[in-house]
Amino acid sequence: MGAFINGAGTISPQSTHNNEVLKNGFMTLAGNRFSCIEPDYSQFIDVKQIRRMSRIIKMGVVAAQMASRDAEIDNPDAIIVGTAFGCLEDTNSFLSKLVQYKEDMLSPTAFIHSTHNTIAAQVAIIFRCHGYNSTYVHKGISFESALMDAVLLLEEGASKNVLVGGVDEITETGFNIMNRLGLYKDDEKINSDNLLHLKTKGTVAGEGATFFSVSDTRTNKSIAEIKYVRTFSFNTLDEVITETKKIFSENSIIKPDMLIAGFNGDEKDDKLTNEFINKIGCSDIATGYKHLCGEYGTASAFGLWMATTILKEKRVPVAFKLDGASGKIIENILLYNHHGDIHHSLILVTSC
Amino acid sequence: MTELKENLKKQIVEQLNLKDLNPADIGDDMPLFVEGLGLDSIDALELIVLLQQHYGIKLAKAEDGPIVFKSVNTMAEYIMANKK
Amino acid sequence: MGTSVYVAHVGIISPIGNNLAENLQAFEEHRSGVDRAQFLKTRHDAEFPLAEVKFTNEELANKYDLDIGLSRTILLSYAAAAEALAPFDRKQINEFRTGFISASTVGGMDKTESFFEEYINDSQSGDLKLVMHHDCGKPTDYVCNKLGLKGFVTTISTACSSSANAIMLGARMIKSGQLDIVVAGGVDALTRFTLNGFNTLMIVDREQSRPLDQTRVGLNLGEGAAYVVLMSEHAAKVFAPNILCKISGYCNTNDSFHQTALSDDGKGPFLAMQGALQMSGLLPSDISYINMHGTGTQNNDQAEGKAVEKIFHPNYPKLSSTKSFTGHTLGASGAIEAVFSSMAINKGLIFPNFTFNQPIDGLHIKPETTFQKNVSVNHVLSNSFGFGGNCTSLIFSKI
Repeated sequence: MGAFINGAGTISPQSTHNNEVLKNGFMTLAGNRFSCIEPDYSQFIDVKQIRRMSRIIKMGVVAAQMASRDAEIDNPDAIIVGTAFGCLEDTNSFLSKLVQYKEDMLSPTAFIHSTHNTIAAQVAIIFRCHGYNSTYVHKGISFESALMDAVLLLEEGASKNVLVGGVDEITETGFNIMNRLGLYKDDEKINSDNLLHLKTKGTVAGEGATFFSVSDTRTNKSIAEIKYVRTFSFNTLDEVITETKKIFSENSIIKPDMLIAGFNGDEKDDKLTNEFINKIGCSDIATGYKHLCGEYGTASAFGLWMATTILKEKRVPVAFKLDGASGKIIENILLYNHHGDIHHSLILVTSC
Repeated sequence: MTELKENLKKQIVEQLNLKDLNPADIGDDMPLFVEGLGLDSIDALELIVLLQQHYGIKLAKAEDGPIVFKSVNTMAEYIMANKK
Repeated sequence: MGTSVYVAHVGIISPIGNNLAENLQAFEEHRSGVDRAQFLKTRHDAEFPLAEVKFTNEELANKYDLDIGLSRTILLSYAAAAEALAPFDRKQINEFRTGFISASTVGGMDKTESFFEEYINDSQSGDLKLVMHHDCGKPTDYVCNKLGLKGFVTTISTACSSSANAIMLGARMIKSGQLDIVVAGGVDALTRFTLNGFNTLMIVDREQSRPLDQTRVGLNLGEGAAYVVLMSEHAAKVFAPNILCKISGYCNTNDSFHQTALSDDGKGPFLAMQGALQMSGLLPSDISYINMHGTGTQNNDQAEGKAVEKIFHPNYPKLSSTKSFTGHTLGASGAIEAVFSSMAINKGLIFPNFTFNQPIDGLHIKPETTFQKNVSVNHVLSNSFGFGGNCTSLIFSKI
């Protein structure tokens, strides 16, 4: 018994939906807004269903299908989604019309799809899945909450195959507001190559939909095993570090082979991340991922996708060109992220 | 009446986001729900909004929907009878 | 297998009362919280009665010593969570492995819609402080921090089953040995977004709603918050000599049929109730009372009614929809009804419908119409069904 990742699928600002990234590597993205490279959704979704789906729903549904195909498991018995802001465009659409038309002549579709669990619900309809279905909406730990639930479900024996994912979108309004709040760097001269080295205020906006097919048994398709996933809220960094050392000890790890951390280019955020990494003695094996996908509530799902891609071959794909890790055998990866210094998350995955 | 029906077909395609459908392909008498165009209950609500936005007609009872929205013909007749 | 999960204490603020005692008193007096809109500023205030918490934001802020600028969602959430945790020493609680699991459907939307009034005309305008409350996690964080809790914190959003799912997750985490104490529940404040949204679906009643009645035409929207304090056996021994009841079963399923409507035969509700019964090891005949989801819409009551008949016919337990008193409080409803269910067990109560005249055609279920006390209530089934086919059933039992 355990929790095994058998398949993954991600739609991201990189060429991940068609796996070109494995051949050509990551692209250098410019500016302070990294938008997804999207597939032709009509290849995945029936025309009758697709007409009503907003962009984020299509992203989520297709990423779930990609993970399911990758795992060769087309009958999941549970679906769990993490999303920090839900279907923003639908929310924006309904809200704007509500104000514009002064609460009159409003149309239902945008309202219906603004509910946060729409993605999980649409995935359930596509897969005809009557099993457990939940959606987590807690800022930068939305995906980790979903993943914790998935692992718990498998441990309980309540499900055998879970589709679990993290989905968030940037919209014009969302970007504009976050920018006004000072979250993003100024556009000029920012790119994914320099983002994590600038040591200035602000990050870049990102988006993505990433799903994993996770089961309670190891199969010949299994890519990685989830050994540990947990979030810590309102705990001190020292409490998180104590727990991290405990994880190492319980898994007979002196030092992980790799640490994938949620560096996002913001000076204050990255200072804390660096403090964590240094205190556990992992600064030489740490790499980031948000310079490739941008910062968003469920970006850690992209980080986990990167981890599983590496663990599949037990080495960093040559095309990835990640600092300090090429050529090495990688059999375990620790992922660390934090949100606003209040929420921290730790995931430990090992090769199969 | 013909012009009304042509306009209705375009408005239906737009309101219901039926991108791949040519308005001319919607027959005047074609069933809109279940068979024919295969619309569902959410589409019925959208058509109620369409009536209000384009023709100033408020369909007060959702139950009248199946009769009014049976086809483009019935919709046009209803609009002619109730337009302000 | 695993520890039992106990409900140690509860907290609630709803359209019928600002704390537990007031809520129970409302049932004694057969007083519904549905009335003409007083607090929500909407164009529809004369058209749709609402079930509002009878406090302005200012009154809530003053009563609980909170910032008046906070979203109504935070104010309501804090009021209920503070009542739930009131008997317990916070420092002692934090020596255990604790969790705070909240739920909401629209988070701080009450403030966001004010922001949009200005933003829509000029994308550089609008007070940014208003949108800082928007996301569903914000009320959870604020209340958790104010209560001095830490550890596992998250927020669930599954439409109208949200807070039932929060309670279910709390129970699962205690049962699995991951946590000792969980404060679980949910909140929603009335907003124009919600009222207008439900109105586009044409399922809002222009009068007092009539759940489970053949003449029903829709729901009344409500607002509120409720939390239960769940404890493992060990934590309960330390903290809570007067445990209210235990959670003996739960199940979440998906109807997987349509985004807003349940399937005609109520498959999702049927599977949820059946799953909860199976987990608890109880027979349908063991259930003393069902707190129905019972929104008063044509679709829900028909589908839920059919599912109940399939499981319980011909021996129906007493049942009712308390939404006829509180309105449909959306993200808070599962938790509000969990509070009522816990009290049903603890105090031997049966809750009624506010009104009932005519059973639904083709169904036999007849809700109770009077508030009953000193009844032997051993097991209560509480249903919560949300958009997206999300179906959750919880079972509360005497210890």
